[in-house]
Amino acid sequence: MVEAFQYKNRTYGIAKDFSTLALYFNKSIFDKCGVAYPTNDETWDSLLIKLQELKKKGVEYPIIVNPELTRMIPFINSFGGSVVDSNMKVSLSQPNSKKGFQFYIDLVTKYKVGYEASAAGAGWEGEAFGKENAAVMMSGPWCLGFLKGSYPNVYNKMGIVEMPKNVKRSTMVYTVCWAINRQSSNKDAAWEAMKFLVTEGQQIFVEKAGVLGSNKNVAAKDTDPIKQVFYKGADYATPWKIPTPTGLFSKANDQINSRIKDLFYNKITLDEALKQINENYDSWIK
Amino acid sequence: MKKRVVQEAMVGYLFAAPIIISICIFTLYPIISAFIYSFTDFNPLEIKKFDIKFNPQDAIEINTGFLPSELREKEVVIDFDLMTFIELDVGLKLDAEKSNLVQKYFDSSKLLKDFSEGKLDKEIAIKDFMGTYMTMHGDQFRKYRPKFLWFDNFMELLKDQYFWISLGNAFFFSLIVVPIQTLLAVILAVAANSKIKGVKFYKAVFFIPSITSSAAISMIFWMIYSKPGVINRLFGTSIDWLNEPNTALPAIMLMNIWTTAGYFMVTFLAGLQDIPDSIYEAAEIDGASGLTTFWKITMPLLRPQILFVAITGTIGCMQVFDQIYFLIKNIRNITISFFIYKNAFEYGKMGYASAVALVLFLIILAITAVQRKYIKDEY
Repeated sequence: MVEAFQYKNRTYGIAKDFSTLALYFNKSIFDKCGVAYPTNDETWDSLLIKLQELKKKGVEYPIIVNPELTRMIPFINSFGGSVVDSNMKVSLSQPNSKKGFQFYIDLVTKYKVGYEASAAGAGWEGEAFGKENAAVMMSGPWCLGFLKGSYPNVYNKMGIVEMPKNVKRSTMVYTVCWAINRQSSNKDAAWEAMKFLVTEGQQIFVEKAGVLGSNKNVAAKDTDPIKQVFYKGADYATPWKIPTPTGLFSKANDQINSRIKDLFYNKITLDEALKQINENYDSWIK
Repeated sequence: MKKRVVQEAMVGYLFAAPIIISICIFTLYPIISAFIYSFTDFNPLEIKKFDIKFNPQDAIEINTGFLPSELREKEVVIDFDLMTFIELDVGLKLDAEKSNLVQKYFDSSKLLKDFSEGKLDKEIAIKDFMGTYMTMHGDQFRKYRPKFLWFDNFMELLKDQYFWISLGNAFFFSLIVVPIQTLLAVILAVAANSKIKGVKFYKAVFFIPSITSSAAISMIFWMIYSKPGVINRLFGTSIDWLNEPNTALPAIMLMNIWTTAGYFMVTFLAGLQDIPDSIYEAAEIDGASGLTTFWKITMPLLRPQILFVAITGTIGCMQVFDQIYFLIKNIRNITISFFIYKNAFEYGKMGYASAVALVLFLIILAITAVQRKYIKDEY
C-alpha cells in the first residue's frame, strides 16, 4: 500500500483506502443448476468446469469479463507470469504470462462462458450481476453498497470467495492516496488534515462507505464479515501500477486494451496480438 | 467632415470590440499557437516549471540524509548524485540537452559548501537557484521553451497506426453521412414547405434534435442501442450495437444523421422560398411528375444551399467528437478528433496533437476546395 505511491525511494502520498477483487457468485443460480458453489480454494480450472456446467444448464452469461489489462492481471500473475519483468520490459509473451492471457481470452472465445457486461445487457459487471443476467463476476467491495441498495434480493443470496488461483494466488489492489501540493502555502494545516484523514477519517470512510482500511489499526477494527475476503486479498494482491522507465503507461494501457478487445471479437490471434505488443511497447511508454 | 468619418468608424469599432477581442483571444490566438506548437514538443504541464519555489536545504537533506550541522562537524564525504537530486528533490524535469548542460556546468561543490554553512534555508525559485549554481548557461533555465522539432511530429504521425485508423474512420463517417444528411434535409425541407396540416409542428419536431445537447442525446441513444434496448426489441436482434467493432460506427452515423438533418433543413427551407412558384406551375402544366419536379427543378435550384450544407456537413463530420467521446469504448472505432484529444490531454503530447490537428485542417481545406470547384455555387 505504501509502495504504490513511491517512486525511487521517495513517498509521494499516503493511501486513502483500498479495494481488492474477489469472486462474487449468485447462490440461487448455482442451486438451480445443481452446481457446487465456488470455494476459497478454487482454481481457475475447477471454476471453468463449474462455469461450463452452468452454461450447459442454460445460464446464458456465466461470468462477466472485462476487456481490460487491469482485470486480466490476476490471471497472468496466478499462472506465474507478469506484465513486465524486473527490467521493466514487457513480458506478456513469457510462457506463463501467455498461459494466463490465453486462459482469459479462451473464457470468451473458446469456452464461451465469459461475456462483456454490455453483451450481457448491462453497463458494468455490478449491474449485470444485480440483474441476475450473470452468475459470477469479479469485482471489488465497491459493489457491496451498490448491490445492497439497488438489488437487495441478489445481495442476500450472493456469496463472495477469494479469487481462484493457479500456481499461486493473485488479485488486484486498487488504491488512491492523499497528497499535499508542493506549492501550497498551508503545508502545516494540510499535514494536520492528512494525519486525520488516514486515521480517524479513514475509520469514518470504512464504516460509512464500505471501503477497506489501508491503515492497519483501522483495518483491525473493521470486523464486518463480508469484507474479510477482500482484506485477505491484500496479502497477495498486485497494485494496479505498471512500472515503466518514464512513469508513463496511459497510452500503453489503451493500446493493450484495444488488442484485448480485438481478441475478444476474434479479430486477431493471440500470437499476432503479442507480436504487436512486443514490437510497439517501447514506443507506447515514451 | 473627415473628423466625423473617423469618429463614426471609432464608434463602430468600439461596438464591435467585444466580439473582436474575444475572437482574437479564443479563436485566433489558439489557432496560431497550435500551428506553432505542432513543430515542437510542447507539454503544457511544464510551462511554469522554472517558477516553482522550493527550499534547497530541505531538498538536500532529503537527498543525502544529512543535516548542515552534521556536514560541518563530521567532515563527511557525500556521494552526491546531482542528476537524481535535480530530477526528484528539486523536481525539475530535464531533457537530454539540458541534462548535459547541468552535468557539465553545475557547481555541486559550491552547493554543498553553502548547504553546510546553512545558507540555503529559504525558499527560492528554481530559475534563481539554477542561475546561482550554473557556472555557464544559467540563462537557459529561466523560462520554459519547448524544443523545436522541425517536422518530427509529422513524420511520427505518418507512422502511427492509430492516426490512419482514426482518419479512415472519419473519412468513412463523412462519406456516408454527408450525402444522406443533405438529401434527407432537402426532403424534409420540401415536406415542411408544403401546405399540409400540422406543418409547423413537423418543422419543430424535425429541428429540435439539432438544438438538443449532444451529451443528452448520446445518453439516450446509449440506452436505445444497448443489448436490452429498443432497437434490439424492435428487430428481435441481440446485438451490442455500440461495442461490436462492425456496428459501432454505423450506429453513431445513424444517430448523427437524425440529429443534424433538421438543422440543414432550415437552410434548404430558406432556399426553397427563393424558388418562384411560377416555375412549379409551369412544370405542372408540362405534366411533370412529383419526382421529376424534385430532381430536375428543386435540386438544381438549391445548388448554392447544397454547396453550403455539403461543406458545413463535411467539416462537422470530419471533426465529430461528442458522440465518439461518450459512446465509443474501443479505440479501433475512434475518429481523428478523439485521437487528437487523447494525445493532447491523456498522453500529454500537446505538440504531437497540434501537428495532427494541423494535418486535419489541411485535409478538410482540400476537401472543401474540391467541393467548391465541382458544385458550382451559382445557377
